[in-house]
Amino acid sequence: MIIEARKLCKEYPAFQLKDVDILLPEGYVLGLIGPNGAGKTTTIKLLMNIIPPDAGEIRLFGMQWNEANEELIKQEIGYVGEEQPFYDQMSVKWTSNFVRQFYPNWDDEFYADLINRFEIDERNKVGDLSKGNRVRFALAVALAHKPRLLILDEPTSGLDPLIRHEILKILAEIISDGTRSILFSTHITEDLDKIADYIVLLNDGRVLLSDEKDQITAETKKVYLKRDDFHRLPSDLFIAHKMISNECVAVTTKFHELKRAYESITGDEPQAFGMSLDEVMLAYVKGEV
Amino acid sequence: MYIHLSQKDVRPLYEQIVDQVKALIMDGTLSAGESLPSIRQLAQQLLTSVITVRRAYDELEHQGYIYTRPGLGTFVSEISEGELARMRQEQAVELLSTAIRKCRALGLGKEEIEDVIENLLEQLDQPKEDRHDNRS
Repeated sequence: MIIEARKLCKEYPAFQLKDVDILLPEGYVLGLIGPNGAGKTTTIKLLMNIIPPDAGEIRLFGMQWNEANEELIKQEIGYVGEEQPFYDQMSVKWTSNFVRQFYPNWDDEFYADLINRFEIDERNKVGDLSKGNRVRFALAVALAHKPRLLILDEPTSGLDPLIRHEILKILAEIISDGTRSILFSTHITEDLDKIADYIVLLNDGRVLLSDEKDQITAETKKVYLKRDDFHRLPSDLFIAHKMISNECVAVTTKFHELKRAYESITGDEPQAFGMSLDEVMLAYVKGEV
Repeated sequence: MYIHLSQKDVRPLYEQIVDQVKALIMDGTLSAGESLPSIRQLAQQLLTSVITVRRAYDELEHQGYIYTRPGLGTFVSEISEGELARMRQEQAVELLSTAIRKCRALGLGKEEIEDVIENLLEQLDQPKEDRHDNRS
């Protein structure tokens, strides 16, 4: 396992993270989603040993954070956050050389390849890079030592769809050999609709939903029903609904069960639509359709 | 092997892959013995989850459309003409029953639906040029 974190707890005066489990095997992408303030960044800080947990257990690559393992674990992690804490006055070249010295596994060829693909001029000052290029550069620096775990904390917010697509392609490439994994925290779930294998939905410091993305999208559907039919179906099939005169739009989390029940009542198939993770999140967190 | 995935489709992504690979086998685009991309290759190509593709391949293998040779890859199974005919038939039943159900929901009766189908068949069977002539 790349990440094995169980029952993570962290208490702050105004916020409490409680019993968060994160499990991520080799070769997969885990999407950590949830509204702002849900605990995504706190969870990441705990995983990266930036803050200690009050309770719970963390193993990365099978190792616990302790003095003996600290350097070994750090060498295997690449991190890109929302803000990239570079020295704006220094050049791209200087910055990469600076980071390079901390990573014995730094791969010059791979780094050069990424910088070429991103079309970044190494003579530029980091502070002069566009927002998109700054993220691209941060990604190149985070990947150059070929980490087994890439942690992304909202790196794509504020980026245009073209750059986000390019980044997704790089991510897909990274995990394609089956040995590396990605923890991708974001509130722009569009990126995860595509490549995420696992989804953990946090809200108010707790795990609201944790499953394979395919399982979630197979069972969570928006259905259009007649008001009467809605009332004849078991209410525990739904997490949200909205009446529009005699019609009802509802979100079910047990589509296959609903389909059977609906067919036995009406003899017909329910009118159902797939949902994006955004819509799933809205239904779970706010109970809204 | 071109596959299009849509989030808005009511079918789960893996089922969309299954259906499209089957269609490619049925129409002869993929022939027996042809090798398919590996699970991780296809996931990368489609920018989709590895689990999605694995599930699709498992399902296709389970249904006998493809087979995996460890270390060699995944290949399209040998499917007899009879079996292909049965698959096409099955697909037709599925497509038409959806259409018929929707027509019924609109309040059309048996004869009206039959008329529509008959007319459509006639129209579609006409050579393209004729259709063009009719229109002009």
